[in-house]
Amino acid sequence: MNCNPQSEAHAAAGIGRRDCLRGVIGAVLAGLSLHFDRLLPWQQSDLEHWLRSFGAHAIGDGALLRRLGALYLAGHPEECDRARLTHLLSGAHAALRGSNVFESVARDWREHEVELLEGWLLARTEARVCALLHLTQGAAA
Amino acid sequence: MIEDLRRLAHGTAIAADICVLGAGAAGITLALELGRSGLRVCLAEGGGTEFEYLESQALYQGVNVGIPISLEGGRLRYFGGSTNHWGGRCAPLQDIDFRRRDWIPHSGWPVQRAELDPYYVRAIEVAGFAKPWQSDADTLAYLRAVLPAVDARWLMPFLWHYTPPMKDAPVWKWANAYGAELRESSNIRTLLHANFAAFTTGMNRSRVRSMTVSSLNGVSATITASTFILCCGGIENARLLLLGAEQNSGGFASQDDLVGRFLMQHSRGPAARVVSAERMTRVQEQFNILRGADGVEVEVGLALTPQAQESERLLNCSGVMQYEGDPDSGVTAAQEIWRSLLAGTWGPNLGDKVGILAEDLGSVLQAVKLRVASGHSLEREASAGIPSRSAILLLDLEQAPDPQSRITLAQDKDALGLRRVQADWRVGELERRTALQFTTHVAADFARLGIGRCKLEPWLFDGRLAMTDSLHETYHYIGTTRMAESSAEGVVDRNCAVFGMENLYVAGSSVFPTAGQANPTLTIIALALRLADFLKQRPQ
Repeated sequence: MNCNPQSEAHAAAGIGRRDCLRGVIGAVLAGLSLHFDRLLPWQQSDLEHWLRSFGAHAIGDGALLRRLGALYLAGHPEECDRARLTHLLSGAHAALRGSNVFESVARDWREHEVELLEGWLLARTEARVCALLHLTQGAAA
Repeated sequence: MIEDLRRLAHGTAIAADICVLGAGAAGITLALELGRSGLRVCLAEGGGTEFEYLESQALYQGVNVGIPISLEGGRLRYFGGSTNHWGGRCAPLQDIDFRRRDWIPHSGWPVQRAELDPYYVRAIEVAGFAKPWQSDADTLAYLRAVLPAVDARWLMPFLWHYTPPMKDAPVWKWANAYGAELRESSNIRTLLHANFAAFTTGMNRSRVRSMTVSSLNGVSATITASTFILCCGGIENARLLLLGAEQNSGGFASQDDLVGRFLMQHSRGPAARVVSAERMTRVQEQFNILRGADGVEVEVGLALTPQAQESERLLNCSGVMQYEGDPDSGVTAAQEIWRSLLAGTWGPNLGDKVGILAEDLGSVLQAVKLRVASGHSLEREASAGIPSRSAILLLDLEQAPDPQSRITLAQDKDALGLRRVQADWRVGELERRTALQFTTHVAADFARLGIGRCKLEPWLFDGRLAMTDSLHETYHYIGTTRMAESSAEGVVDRNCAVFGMENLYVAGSSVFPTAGQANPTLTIIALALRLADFLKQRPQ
């Protein structure tokens, strides 16, 4: 998972003992994260389906939407956490469901809760789904 | 009658009740209205009946010291004036455009929209429309256009009416429409190649006694009249007042140093690209140039509501859709082949394009039929009729009045020995904020309504980019002899009389204190008709 897309370029630099330790901890955390993901009521395919339903596929392919998600997180680092994003997207509801997200997107458009990312105008909820997709993809990779 | 000054005797004296300088939309409208009422009118025009680039037109050359404007290319100096390159797009200014808006310094007209309403009705006829316009709702119903429910807090549909084509022109042109009447009129003396050379005034410089006009081959005439009206466009009207003040060491509203200030222009250009995963067939039936069987032709777009302008403290702004060809469409393929052939090549992927064209022959034939039936340019028709999955949102943007944006006199002189114009055009940040807000509203609504998704142009949100690099001129030069309640605020009064002058008037967009977002021609005509009515009631 990477909240700053620009930092990826630094990852290939020299690997020391401390980096190894970080790697092991990261792998354990990623494993735990994947384990808990299975307990969540959404999957990556759900996110992609939701974005398609919003009409976001007109903007571009999954790679572009993930990049927009990363850009969103760069501007909102406090949301750079899947649990946090899931909570925000769930809103007042107990779980993250497609119907809730659709309502939230429609409300965003009405109330102009929008994000401008690389010139594209996204509903804030939509941008958060893109961000979640970015984090999920990062974890899967 | 129409005469050519070059063929008159040098030193000819012409007497008239009213002298109108400039034979464009305002000048011809005024001359006809006044002449029909029995007044003797001399209509002096600097150019001839045709475009004369190296002669008359070159008198429009000038100096730019601000954002460059097309001093020479944006105006036409011959009979018919700039209507000779007019697109025929008409809309009145809105109520809010006339009001004082406390968030826009120097806004507010001394007249309100309701006072112009009867003149707009007459202006529609003068501009060549066969019958009065219906309300927007009735027009849309007649055209069977059902618009999507845009968010009425921010956006409203806006209709532009296109003048009907003439036998000899694609849109209404004043020279073509009214040339014959001017030729046959016994009390309107139209003088071509009669360029302004000098004003003479009385002792206290408050009354114009005469105006000297000269041709470029050295023939001069002196016109005496009880009333003089400048109708030379948004730049030249100011220049002539500045020259008049210089020639007479004062007068011509020079006392408050407002002549030439507040130079404005509508900016036009792309604000966003709208994309859709599907063909935009439905949207193209809504936001487009729509035609009725009886020649009614309107362009349907969107504009900021007055409430949005007020609550968000914005200028006025509107937008229309310019559709891009779907690469999978036969029409696009045919267009690309045609363009390649015009350029003398077959172009790339000819075989693929021919295949697409053959598969989509029905659309191609329909597009050809539309173009032939309308008689309009291929470019305009292509945008209207082409199968599309994307479009450009084109903005028309009001500019805020700024006293530093101005016309002055340059040191260089023209062929007649008169100082050329110097333009210092400036555009502020309120324009950018207005464009961004408007485009955001449109983008949000288009997404909400499932019309498409918008990618905004960088100039909207990146303050480092010059707006004017992305926008282009409309040649609507406005505001340089603004109408106001007093000479401390403007150059002409509510009747278009120059402050401090008893018998000098100005007509045209130079008198608009603010520009609105609509094309100015209809308002220019409405104000010219109003001025004509005012002068007809005054003893000459």
